[in-house]
Order: sequence, then structure tokens, then C-alpha cells
Amino acid sequence: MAPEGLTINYTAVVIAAIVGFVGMAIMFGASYLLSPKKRTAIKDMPYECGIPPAPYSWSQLHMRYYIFAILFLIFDVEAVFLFPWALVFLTSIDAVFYEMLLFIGILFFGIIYSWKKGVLQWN
Amino acid sequence: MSLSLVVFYLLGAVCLGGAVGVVVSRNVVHSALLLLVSLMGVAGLYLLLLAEFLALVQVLIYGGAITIIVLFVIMLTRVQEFRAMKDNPQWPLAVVAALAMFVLLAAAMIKGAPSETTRQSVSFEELGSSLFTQWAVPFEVASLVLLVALIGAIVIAREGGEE
Amino acid sequence: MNYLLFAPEFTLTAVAFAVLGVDLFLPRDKKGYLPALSVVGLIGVFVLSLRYLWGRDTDLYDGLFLIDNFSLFFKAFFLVLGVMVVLSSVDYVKKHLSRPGEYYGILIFSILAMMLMAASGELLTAYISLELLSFSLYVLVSYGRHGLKPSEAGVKYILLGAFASALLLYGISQVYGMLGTTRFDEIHAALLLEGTPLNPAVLVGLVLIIAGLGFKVAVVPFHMWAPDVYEGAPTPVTAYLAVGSKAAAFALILRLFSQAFMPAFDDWQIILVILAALTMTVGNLVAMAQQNIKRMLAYSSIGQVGYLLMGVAALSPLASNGVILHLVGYGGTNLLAFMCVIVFYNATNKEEIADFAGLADRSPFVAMAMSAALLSLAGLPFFAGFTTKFYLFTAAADGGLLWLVGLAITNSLISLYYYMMVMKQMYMVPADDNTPLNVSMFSCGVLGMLLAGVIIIGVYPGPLVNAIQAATKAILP
Repeated sequence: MAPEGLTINYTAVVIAAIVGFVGMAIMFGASYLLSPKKRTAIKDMPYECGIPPAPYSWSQLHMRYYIFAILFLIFDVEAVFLFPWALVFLTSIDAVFYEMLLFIGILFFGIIYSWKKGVLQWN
Repeated sequence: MSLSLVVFYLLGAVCLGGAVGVVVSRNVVHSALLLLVSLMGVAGLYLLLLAEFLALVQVLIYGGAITIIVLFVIMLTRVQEFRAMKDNPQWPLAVVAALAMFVLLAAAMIKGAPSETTRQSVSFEELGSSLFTQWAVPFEVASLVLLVALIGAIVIAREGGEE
Repeated sequence: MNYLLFAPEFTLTAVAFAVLGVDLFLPRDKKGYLPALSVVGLIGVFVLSLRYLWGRDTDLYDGLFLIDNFSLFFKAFFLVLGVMVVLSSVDYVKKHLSRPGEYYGILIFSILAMMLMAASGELLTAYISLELLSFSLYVLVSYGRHGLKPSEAGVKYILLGAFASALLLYGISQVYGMLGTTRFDEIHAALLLEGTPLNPAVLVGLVLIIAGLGFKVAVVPFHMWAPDVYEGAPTPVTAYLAVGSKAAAFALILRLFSQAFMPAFDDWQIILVILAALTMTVGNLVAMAQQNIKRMLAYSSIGQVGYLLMGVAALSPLASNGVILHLVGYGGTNLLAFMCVIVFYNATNKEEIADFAGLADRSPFVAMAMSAALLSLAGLPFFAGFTTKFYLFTAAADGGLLWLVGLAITNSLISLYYYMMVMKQMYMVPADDNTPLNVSMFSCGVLGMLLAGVIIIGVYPGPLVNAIQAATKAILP
């Protein structure tokens, strides 16, 4: 198939992407060209005038972040399905509407569950 | 060579480059970020195939949520464990196995795949009405899978810890 | 569309939510009601399925979801299996595991997943059901208290399970890409249209699907996870893994190969024959060297998978009957064997074969039940194992796989040896400490039920065979 569909539909996307990348390159390039270059160990520290940083740049996170991330993932998936659903539930059969309610209901149970289990508590 | 073929090779290079980077990088955080590059390349491939919904899913779920989770999981581990990270001594074997798999799949595709196909765009409306009517059962089961994943994560993560 | 045909699935989902929901509000000392609720729910769904779906032959959602005697039979089988697993878990969970609510709730979700697998008439529906089953099993396998072995089991199972899912999904996408459909009947039609020889790209897809499902049922050479996972998982979960996930996968395999891939029979038969020969031989040979009873049963169940695969390789109505019959017979027997291990572990916290020394003195009933289970696994008369193996081997021989049947019989003799070694421990070797085993009345009751089931299938398989023939007729008319 000829790439018409592509060129017509995604010209704007491609332009936006190119502008984004080029813009970023210009900004980084300009800052590289313009900035004074006198590097010392002190100046390379993340916070030049604060307290000295801890020995490692990363510290161990608590487990509850992980569960928050999982919750985020699950409702992200739900949100993705909401897009096509929002377009069709008015015009399609009734069942479509209730299907999404069921889907959300099942996931909502997950929220109640984690709430009740104290996962959402922050102490 | 048509424009879409050029774009395809570019995106393919992004995917493969990212994937090779994931494996080769000595720093797990870099690996996770390179994985993002690879996943975004796949999203581009979906767009090229006119599968817009899949591209959206790829960016939102893989680019957004999955990469975040991978980074969180890396941060859950202790930094000391990574200082001693070594190559798996079996890696030459893995390379051979992966190459064999690649040759097999590629040969089968070259011999078996139809030489020419046309790309077809599926609109969100068509996709929605098919997903929520014909494919309702897998759709609902997917929510149960997510729920079990959530409950399982809570059960396993908190086992032994609190309480 | 008749949504009432979904009644069993909807009700079972509701039961799972009820168990999880009640658990949230139940005080700690009242958690004993949860297994009771689960059992009542499972039995209710069992009755509902049989009453409402009996003799129906229809499909929902354009063939995605099939309602026929095959799916009904497996629904009933999985529900009964679920009841037995819940019953055998009661004491174990109380003693060794925390969070009973999630345990039973997720167990019910996994039974729902198995029911959906047996009823799906399309690859993606089957795949997502398999994922629901796998996710539930990942959680259940990792349920053990902290320790090296449970953690290893959980991580290994999740990683290899995800790998297997990826293979399966790749195979599905290959088949869909080449044939343009994922529905079983349409794949069948497309394959007929393509004719021979099979398109290599479809063949690769088929091989990947076999590999993916082979991982899930622990076919050699995709079996490496099984012993470690079986050993590290809580024992009732091991029993469930050995029986339930295998039965569900074989239900899917039977339907997939008979309804979708039958036109390519010549291409996949040789693959399955080789895998079956490897699986039964490796499983039984390695089982001989095991010291841990759960590892031994793991390898022995790999051997059993070899026999089942042989039945699929000879696919015909007779062989399909044989496979289903052996699934039921082997399932009941294996549950009995694991129930004995559970009872023993509950009382002693040990699970090495050497620890079974003198069990005949410490608890004659458990020793007898264990012996019955082992003899049935080996395939001796009067027990389920004999009848079902006999039927399966005859069907395979009838399908022209004579040398493979010879190998299977040789393997059965090998297996008799290591089962006998366990019996020797129980009856001939004196125990270190001779205190009687503390077995609750409830556990004895469950053991008795399973023992009765194994013997009934062994001496009076008639009604079961009739039901299985009706089930087979739905996939292989």
C-alpha cells in the first residue's frame, strides 16, 4: 500500500517529534556552548552549596511503593480501555455499558481490598 | 524504497538498539531506561502498521506504567547487590540458542509468509464495538487477571513483613 | 444472547468475591468459616452447572465460548477437584499459612480459569484464561512462609511461567498471522484449505504453542522447574498444581488439537510422540533417585504427563476417552497421595521419604491410603490407575503407537520400583520415634473419601466412562 495514509495522518506527529528533538538539541547545544567550563569536583556535586550528598545516589525504597506502582498500572490499563468504550457505549448494545461497569467494579474491589488491608496507609 | 520502509528500518533500529542496550549495559537503571527506548520503537512500529490503539496502549502502559514499575523494583533492591553483578557464565550458550531461534523463525517467515499484504487501519469505534461485543469474555477475564495480580502482589509483598 | 448460559462462571466469580469480601470483615478467630463457604459455593456451582447445562450444545460470542458436553464434563471435574483441594487444605492452611481468605479466594479464581480454558473455542480466550490460572498459581505457589525453598519455587515458577506464556503467545500470533483467525473451527477450515505440506510458518507457530503448553504441564525438556516448584510450594498447592493445572492444560490441548489442528495431524503427531517418549522415560528414571517425597511425586507426575501425551499423539475418540479417563483417575490418585503427605507433614513437619519409616505402625490408616495411592499410580489392578492406564494404553496401541505403548509399560514397571521403595519404608523399616501420628478426624474423612474414589474408579468405572464418551463426542464426533 502506498504510504498516503501515513503521510497524511501523521505529518503533524512527525513534525512535532522533529521539532521536539531539534529544539532539545539546540537547547543542550546552546548551554554547552555558552556555559563557562571550569569543572572541579565540588562543582560537579548535585548540590553545590547544600549538605554533601550521601555516599550512594540511590537508597532502598520501601515495599509499599511497589504496591502503589501496581495499583497505578492496573488503573492505567483500565483507563486505556475507557477510550474505545467511551466512543461506542452509546451507540452499541446495552450490554457494552454494563460490561465496563463490571470491569471497573472488579477493579474497584481491588481498591477496597487494599484499603482494608492497610496498604494505602502511610505511617 | 518507499517512505514507510525507511521509517520501518529506522524504528527497527531503535527497537533493536534499545534491546541490545538493555542486555549489554552494566548499570541496571540504564538497562531499564533503554528498555523504554525499545518499547517506544515498538509503539512507532504499531503506528506504522496503522494500529493506533495498540500504539496508545504501548505508550501509556509500557512506556508509562511498566517502565515505572521496573524502575521501582530496581530501587527496591539493595545497592550492594548490584556492585557484585557479574555476567552469567552461560551467556555464550544463550547467544547460540537465541541465534538458532532467530534463524528458525526467520527462515519459516521467509519461506511461509505471503509476499505482499496491505495495511489496514482499524478505527477506535470499530475496535471498541468488536472488543465489547464479540470479545467480552476475554475482556472481563482480563480484569480478573489484574485483580489477582494486585491481591497476589499484596499477599506476597507483605508476607512476613508487617503484621 | 442467553447470558444465563454463563450462570456457573458468574456464580463462581461471585463465590470468590464473597470469600475475599467476607475475609476482610471476619475477625481473626473466625477464619474457619472461609473453607466452608468455599466448599458450599463450589458444590452449589457444581449442581447449577449440571442442572442447567446438561446436554446443551451451543456457543456464545461467535464461537469464542463453547457450551457442550466436553466443557460441562471438565467444569464438573474442576469443581469436584476444587472441593477436594479446599478440603485437603483446611488443616494445612490453619497450621502453616497466614491469610486464608486470599488463599481460598484465589484458589476459586483459578478454578474459574480452568473452567474457562476448557470452554474456550478460540486461542486468545484460552490464552487469557490460562493467564488467570497462571497468575493464581504464581500467588499460591509463593504462599509459603519465608525461606529459601518457597522463595526459589515462587521466583522460578513466575519467571519460567512468563517465558512459557511468551512462547505460547508468539505461537498464537504466528498462527493468526498466517491463517487470519484464532477460532478453532476456522483454523481447522483454513488448514484444510491450505492442504499439505503445512506452511512452515504455521508449523513454527504450532511448535511454539506446543512448547508453551509443554512448559505449563512440565513436558521434558520443559520440565526443569517442576521438581523445585513442587518441593517449595505448600503441599496442597503442589497437589493442585499436579492435578488441576495439568487437567486444564490437557483439556485445552485436546480441544485445540482435535478441533483446530486436526488437518495437520501428521505434522504434530511425530513431535508429540517424541516428547511423550522423552517425558515418560526421563520422569520415571529420575524419580528413582529422589529423596524427598514431593520431588519424587513431581517426577512421577512428569512420567504420567508422558502417558497422557501419548494419548494425545494417537488422537482418536478412543484415545481422547483414554486421556480424559486417565486425567480423572490419575488426578484422584495423586490427590490421595498428596493428602497423605499433607497429613504426615501436618503431624511431623517432615517430608523426606526416609521419614516415612515405620508409618505402618504409627498410623496404619495413612500408610494404607498411601500404599493404595502408590499402587494406583503404578497401575495395579483394583485401583483407578490400572483401569485408566489400561484404557489409555489400549487406545494408543489401537492408534498404531505400539512401540510407544511398550515403552510406557516398561516405564510403569520402573515406576513400580520406586513406589515400592516408599512402601518398604512404611512397612519394613522401623521408625526412629514410634509415637502414633496425630491425624484429625477431618483429615481422616478426606483421606477416606479420596480412597473410596480411587477404588470406585478402579472397580466400577462404567458411569464415568459413559460421561467421558459423551464429552469426547463433543470434540470428536
